[in-house]
Amino acid sequence: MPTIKLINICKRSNGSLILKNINLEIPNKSLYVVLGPPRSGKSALGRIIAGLDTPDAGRILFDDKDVTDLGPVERNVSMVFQDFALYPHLTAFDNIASPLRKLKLPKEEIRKRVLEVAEYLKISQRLTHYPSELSGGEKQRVAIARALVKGAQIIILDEPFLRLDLKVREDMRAELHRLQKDVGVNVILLSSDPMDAMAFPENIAFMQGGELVQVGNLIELYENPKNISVARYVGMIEMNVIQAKIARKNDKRILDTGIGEITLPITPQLSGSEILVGIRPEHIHIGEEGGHPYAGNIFTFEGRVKISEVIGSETIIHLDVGLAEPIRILIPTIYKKNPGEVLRATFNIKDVYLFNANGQFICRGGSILG
Amino acid sequence: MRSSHILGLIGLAIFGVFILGPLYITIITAIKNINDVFTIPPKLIPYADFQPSSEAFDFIFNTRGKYTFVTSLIVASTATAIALIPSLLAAYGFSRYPKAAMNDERSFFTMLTLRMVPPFAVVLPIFLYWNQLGLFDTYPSLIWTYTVFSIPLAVWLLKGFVDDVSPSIEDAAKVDGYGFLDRLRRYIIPILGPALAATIALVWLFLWNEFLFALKLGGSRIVTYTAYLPQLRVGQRVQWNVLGAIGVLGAIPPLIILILFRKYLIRVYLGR
Repeated sequence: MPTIKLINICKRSNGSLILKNINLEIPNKSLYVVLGPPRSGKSALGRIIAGLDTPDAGRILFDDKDVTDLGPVERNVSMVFQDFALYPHLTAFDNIASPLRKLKLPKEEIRKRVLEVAEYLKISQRLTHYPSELSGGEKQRVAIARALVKGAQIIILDEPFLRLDLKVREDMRAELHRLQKDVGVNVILLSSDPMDAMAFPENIAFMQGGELVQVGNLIELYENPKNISVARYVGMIEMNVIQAKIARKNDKRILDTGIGEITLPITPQLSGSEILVGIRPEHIHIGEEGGHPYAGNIFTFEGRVKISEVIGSETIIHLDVGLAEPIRILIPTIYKKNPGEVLRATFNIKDVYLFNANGQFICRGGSILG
Repeated sequence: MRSSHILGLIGLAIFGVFILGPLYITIITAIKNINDVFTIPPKLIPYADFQPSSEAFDFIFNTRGKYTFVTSLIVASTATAIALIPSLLAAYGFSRYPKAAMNDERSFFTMLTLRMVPPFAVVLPIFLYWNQLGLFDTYPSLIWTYTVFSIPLAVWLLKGFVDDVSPSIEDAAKVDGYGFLDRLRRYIIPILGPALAATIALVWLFLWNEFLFALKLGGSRIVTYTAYLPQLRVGQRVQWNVLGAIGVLGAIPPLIILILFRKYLIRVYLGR
């Protein structure tokens, strides 16, 4: 199970650069998530790691062995595709056996290995069925079985959960954890779903516009996002971002957000005249100051409920505060409010994320307030 | 019943008369003896107006007539078989490499225009060409011409079917270790399956029915059943009953094909 090293990978498609100088090291035996919005280049990166495409520039090393010019078989890489890519004219058994048939293994050996991996993935009962007769979760399991059966050292999954029901997604995520632990393969997950980053929080690479923006674990991406895109993307619900103007007042800096002022001590980090203030929906609380779990540095604002949606046991309130966009608030309980009702909400200024006008992360409110 | 419904039925009835009327005339003419063919008013109802006769069919089976069907079968089948391989490869290329050099709307359309050219416009030069090569009135000339004219149709039909096969299936096969020919043989062709068969059937059908090239590039040694029709006259009299019988026999293979592949042919004609 090799350590994968990508060195200065560039890829062009249709005249535009879809991968811009990617440098990444994926540790061995890891479950690695490449997270990014659609068309961020993660699929292109996955195909290059798999050996389906060759990069226009750069090298790929597996344990310091250059594999740039090798195909998927020589690299011993498997891939599971977004649409599962099962062969419609073959049964589940023959689908799983496909890579072994190419290796020209004896019939009995093929049978033994297919049954083994099918048993492991709990699809033994479905082997005689054709893909059209399988459920989404079962198709996924067959696709993973086909990837596992030849003993690949690296398995790349491209948006594996996109086409599955929510409940099945949970099962398959658990299955991936189990598989990675049992078999010890390198699992690389290409995903546009932040929930995948939460399910597999240890190793995450965030991509956008063909660039590798930030690499780290979930907490690093959540607490210290490199820029506003990471901050918006990594989280339960998208972060609220408010444009603010910086004014100078005695020994203070005043951030005028349009719904109230945030007063901060002067620090060299607060330069320029414009700033973006980000506050996560889960950091906003409903009620008076007194109801807030922290003391001091409380920012209070008011607005009318625009939409209130209950998702599972949580509530998301979109509060119209007179800005271009409503403020999203995540309440961890079921909290019914009618549109038009006036609500008072608070957050701790220590929780805000400050970004410069270009969206680059400056610091958290807490690091200025001390 | 709504009035639009009635109008629809009337429309269908008129349509039916136009389609089935000539078919009926063809069939009853085939079972007349030559003297019953020319009566005025025409004899329309077998057994009541005239006694059915096997004269026309006997004529076909006792003369070179029967061999014309064999010739048609050889020419249409060979040309279809030869056209299929380059067509499948071309369709694959058009479908899978949309960004490749020269693979654009224009080149695809240019290929299709080969099919759109009225055969009359090209039949004479093609005739001269084969004549110069000394291959006039031989199997190779007719088969090769048919092959060339079948390819655009086959490519056009097959491209649509290849488009329907998800590229990720091929990526999966690449990951499993299969090279291009293996992928084509083990995955693409079996997945295309019935669609491929329908394409073959349709291309074959066009060639089976072809008349102009058959008449001009053959006619004495190589005579397809369609090219045989103009030769059917005794003195000044056209053997209409034999013409009818050949029509009936010639319609049998298309009928079988239509019944077998109607599901796919409808998709082809509706542009799916």
